[in-house]
Parts: sequence; structure tokens; C-alpha cells
Amino acid sequence: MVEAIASDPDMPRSKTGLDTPGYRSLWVADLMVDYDPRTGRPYAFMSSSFEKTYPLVIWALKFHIADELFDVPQAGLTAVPLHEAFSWAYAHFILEDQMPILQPESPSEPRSLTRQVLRYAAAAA
Amino acid sequence: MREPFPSEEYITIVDNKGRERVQRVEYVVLDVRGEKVYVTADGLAYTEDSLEAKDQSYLIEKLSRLPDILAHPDIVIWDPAEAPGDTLIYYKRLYIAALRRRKLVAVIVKVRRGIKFFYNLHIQESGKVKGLTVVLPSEIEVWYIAPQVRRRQFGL
Repeated sequence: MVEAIASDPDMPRSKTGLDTPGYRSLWVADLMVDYDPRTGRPYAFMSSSFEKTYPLVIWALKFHIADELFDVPQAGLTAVPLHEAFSWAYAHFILEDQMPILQPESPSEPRSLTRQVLRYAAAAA
Repeated sequence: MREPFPSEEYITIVDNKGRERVQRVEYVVLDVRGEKVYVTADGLAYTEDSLEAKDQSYLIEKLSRLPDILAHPDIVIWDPAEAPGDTLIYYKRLYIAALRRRKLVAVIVKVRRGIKFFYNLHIQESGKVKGLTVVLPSEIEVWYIAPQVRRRQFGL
């Protein structure tokens, strides 16, 4: 299982805690999302079988929640879309960093972690 | 709810990658069908961390209601996103004093090699069990439903 929580450092924590609607399923079986009531934006994401459903989850994130950028301090990533953050989580937690060190694909083309992880996962399957 | 017997103080569970993990048992609960559910220190610690990170600390005290939720759930389904027989989800509406309202709480229990153990607790969108946007209601396998509860209260 992978659970990811996005927080805005400029937004103070609620005194009583967040009164969220609760996790709801998206259009793929293994991705649930909860929403921050203050912003109306998704802030918690859960995939219970991420090691098996990674490509489908990535697809859903890429097509449905691609309009926001996140920092992932643990990964040293800044301003990346959610599918890139999840791809790092897959490489780190599921593949346990066994994937070769990622290199830029070309000087003119920014590195796509998602593309490289998908390629590696497909080759290893 | 009871303390683990000496032979139950540590259990070996199998993670999603098929690896064996030894976990310390905090207590043992009998669920609504009288089956043993092991509540481990790791399961409780993960859930507390998760609730804290989601700014839902008001739910941490509800962990003390785990025996009640497991013994008296409103409805229990097999997780439609998992392999058959892998994961049960126990749902119960609980009053959350901090919010002054009731919320649908989901308790995740994994079943591995015949051992049931607590995995996670979170709030679920009211009125819908997991997976209803993906599979037909008739495809959701209900493991238990309380006599006073109607399936349509959960979108089924």
C-alpha cells in the first residue's frame, strides 16, 4: 500500500482537524482520493496494491490530476506532477531503489521519471 | 479484546511482495463472526502516523474503538481492488465529537495464510463502499451486513 499526503506549508493546521469527505474511489479500482475542504483539492491518495496496479494508477493521475505541481522533499523533487511523485515512490518503495540511476534522456528533453520507471517495470515483468 | 497468549505475542505475516515479516501483537480481537484479528504495534503506529499527516488526529482516539468496529460493523465487504480473499473492509458510522458529526470509518483487515491482522483505519466517503465507481454494485462481495442495515445505505 502507498498512501501519499500533500500539504501546503503556508496553510496552518486546523485546530479541530480537517473535516474531509473521506476517501472516495476514482475511475480506477485501486486509487482512492480524499479532498481538503479548505481548497476543494485532492490532498490524500491511497493505492492499496500499488506494486501491482502502478501503471493504471499512474495513468489515472496523469489524466485526472495533472494540473498541480508538488515538491517531494524526501526524493529531492521540486514542482513535479503527481504521477512523477508516485513514480518515485514506486522506484523507491516497491523496486527498493534497484532501478539504475536515472540520467537525463537528452539535454533538450527533460527527464521523465514516469517514463523511465514504466520502461523498467515493463522490462522486469 | 484480550492480551495475546504467549504463543501469539509475535506473528509472521506476509507482505504484498510475499516476504515474511514478524510483528508484535498488541491485542487480539474477535470480529463479528468470532474470528481472531491480530492488532499489531506496526499496524497501530502506521495508522497513527497516517492520521496525523492527514490532519485527522481526532480519529486516533477511535483506534480504541477497533474491537467495537470489528465486532459490530455495519457492513463488511471484500476489497474489490484486491485478490479474492485478501482484504476485508469493515465499515461503521461513528460519532466524531471534534467534528460534531458522524463519519463512516473503514477498518482494513488483511488475510494472509489464514491470519487476519489490522492494517489501516480511515474515513470513507459516506454512503459508498470502496470500488463503486469501478465495479457494479452486484460485483461487490458482502461478507457481513448488520440486520438493521440496508445495502442501499452503502450504495449497493
